[in-house]
Amino acid sequence: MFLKKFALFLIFFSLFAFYSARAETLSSTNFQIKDPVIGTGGGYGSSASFKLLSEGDKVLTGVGSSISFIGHYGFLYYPFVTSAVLSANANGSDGDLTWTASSAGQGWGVGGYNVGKASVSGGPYTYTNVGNVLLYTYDNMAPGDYCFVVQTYDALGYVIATSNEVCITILPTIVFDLDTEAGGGSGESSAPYNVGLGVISTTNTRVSGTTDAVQMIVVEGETNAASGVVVTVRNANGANGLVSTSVPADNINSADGTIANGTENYGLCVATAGLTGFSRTSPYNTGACVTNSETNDIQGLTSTGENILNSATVPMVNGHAEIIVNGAISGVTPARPDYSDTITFIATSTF
Amino acid sequence: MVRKLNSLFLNRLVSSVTILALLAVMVAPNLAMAAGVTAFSNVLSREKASTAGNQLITFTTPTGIAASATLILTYNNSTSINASMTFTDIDLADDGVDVTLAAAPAAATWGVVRTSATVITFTNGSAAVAAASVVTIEIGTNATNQTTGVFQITNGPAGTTTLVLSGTFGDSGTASMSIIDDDQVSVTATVNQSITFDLDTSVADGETTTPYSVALGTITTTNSKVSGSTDSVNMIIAEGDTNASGGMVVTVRNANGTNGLVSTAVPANNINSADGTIANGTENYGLCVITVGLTGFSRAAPYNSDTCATNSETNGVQALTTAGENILNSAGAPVTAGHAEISVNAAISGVTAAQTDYTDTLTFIATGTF
Repeated sequence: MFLKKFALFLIFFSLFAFYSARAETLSSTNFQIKDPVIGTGGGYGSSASFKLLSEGDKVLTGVGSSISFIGHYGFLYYPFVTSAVLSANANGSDGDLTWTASSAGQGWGVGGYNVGKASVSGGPYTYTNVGNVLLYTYDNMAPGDYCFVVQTYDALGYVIATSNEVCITILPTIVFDLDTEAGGGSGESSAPYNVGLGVISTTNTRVSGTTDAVQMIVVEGETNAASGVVVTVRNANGANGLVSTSVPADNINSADGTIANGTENYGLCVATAGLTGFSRTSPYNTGACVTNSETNDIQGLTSTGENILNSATVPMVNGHAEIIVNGAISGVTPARPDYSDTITFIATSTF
Repeated sequence: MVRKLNSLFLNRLVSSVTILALLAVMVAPNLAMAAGVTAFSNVLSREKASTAGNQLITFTTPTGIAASATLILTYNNSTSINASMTFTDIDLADDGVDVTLAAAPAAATWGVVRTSATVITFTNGSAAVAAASVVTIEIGTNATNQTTGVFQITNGPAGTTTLVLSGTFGDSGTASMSIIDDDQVSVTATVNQSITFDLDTSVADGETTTPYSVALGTITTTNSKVSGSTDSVNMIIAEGDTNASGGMVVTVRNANGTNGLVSTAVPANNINSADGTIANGTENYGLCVITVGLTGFSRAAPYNSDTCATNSETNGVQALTTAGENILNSAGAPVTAGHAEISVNAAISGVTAAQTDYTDTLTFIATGTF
């Protein structure tokens, strides 16, 4: 019984040993290929106009060809691509992405890139096809954590590589700026900000704009706060409006109403033209208000402050508003060369 | 026997799981669940860089603030909390109700410490703030509970400043403020000095041109002559405007002083001018300001007390002087569309010399005090 089993074992082992793969190490005095699996072998191949001589057990790659012959050497013919290397930075409420170019060959070409954004590492990502470029910016993102990858796609739009993942944090952001360009324009200016109404007479009300060359107050803002931004305005003198520095009892009052020659008043309104992102907010949300107009509907200023602009409770980018300063006097408005007021603007976002 | 043991084990297992589940249900609501605060804002009284101001911080805490828990405010961007700031410069309200603050927590009193130039630490006392409460913190002179605050927080340079909420209370959050180069606009204006003055001479109110004249005509002892339509004698109309803060004063003087109307041919003959009441048969000559039609202007002393009406031959008049006297003013204030009608009055006695050429020249001067 034992002998019978031993004989069967030997037979089985012999068959197995006979059909096993064998690899021989190739070597020279300064070179060794261990356990080669594929070799070109020796000999040659030929056609009418081509001849390949080969020897040894080298691994060849690439293509050789003639008019009537083509040789693809080595292993099966695989295309290749390198993944983009992604960098990302938080820039205010923007996420700036840049990446290195992918390179591809052996049948593949780089057609372009998809950028993917996710709220957690690993995705799922929401992809945007950005074309064959090497940078992209996600604008005005809400505060939070974001992770990005870049996909490389080929000429047919098939994704052939994916970059590393980079995660950034977008902080709550609010940007606010004032300008009072000389001449009444809406361009940039630097602090200190001034509005010179000049000489007001009973027949010449003075308002912001190029006609009187009186500065307007340009307000610009951005925020990624979900509830947007609110801008308030207050003045130093309240309803006393413009007050003489030398004789504080002399003033140009500030009250709700319509500006008119011969009727003393001073105040602000928000021009309806040029209003972008921002909305006029109560009590500044009604009435006519146009640059150069001497019949604007204005609001009286207060020292406690009132809302003047908001972003309709949503995040805002490139908010722009032009505030018109209006001043008129009556015949009994005291003559003074030094009327002044200080207006303070405060922008607040709720995150 | 084995079945009995299995049944006993199963019963114990079910009982244990049930007890644990019940305990979990009872305890779970009391466990703090850290979360992000909501409706988080910080209203600054000034947003100018490197400028001190008040702050009004508001947020809703989903978790609440347990007794003894800390609440930490941390600023960046070189924000500077005044080194002298104490709890007296700060208010904290739970759902609108101010809590009592002190340097250290005790019983229901919160402790407040300026931990550094950018950090303020609150430590709750024994009274927990309920979940979903609205917490408001006032810092600076706007903190008026207990005492009014003195010291404020100074903004850093222009840029975005963040305020981070943290602490053992569990919730957290970040709010941003925009610090800008200047948050104020200076508005200036000029109103130039202005004064206008005009005279007219007419029986009725109206405009006339120079030369201005008042012809009293023939005066008799039974017919005094006064301005008005009855005698067809012109009145003198004075009009003026000024934006002088001290208003306008109008003076009158005459050429002949108290000699009044003087004969050109025989200067010794005259109709005297004296304070008094015009009356037939009593020589006198002078002016008064008609009270009706007086707008903007007021009658100035010594012309402010006499009865004076157009066509009246019993007006109280003031003697004229060569030095001049005030006759009108605008009550020390700017005046617009000032209007006054001045009556010229004359009467003679039986001894007033007969002459055909009695004359006088009146001069009116308006002056604004700016």
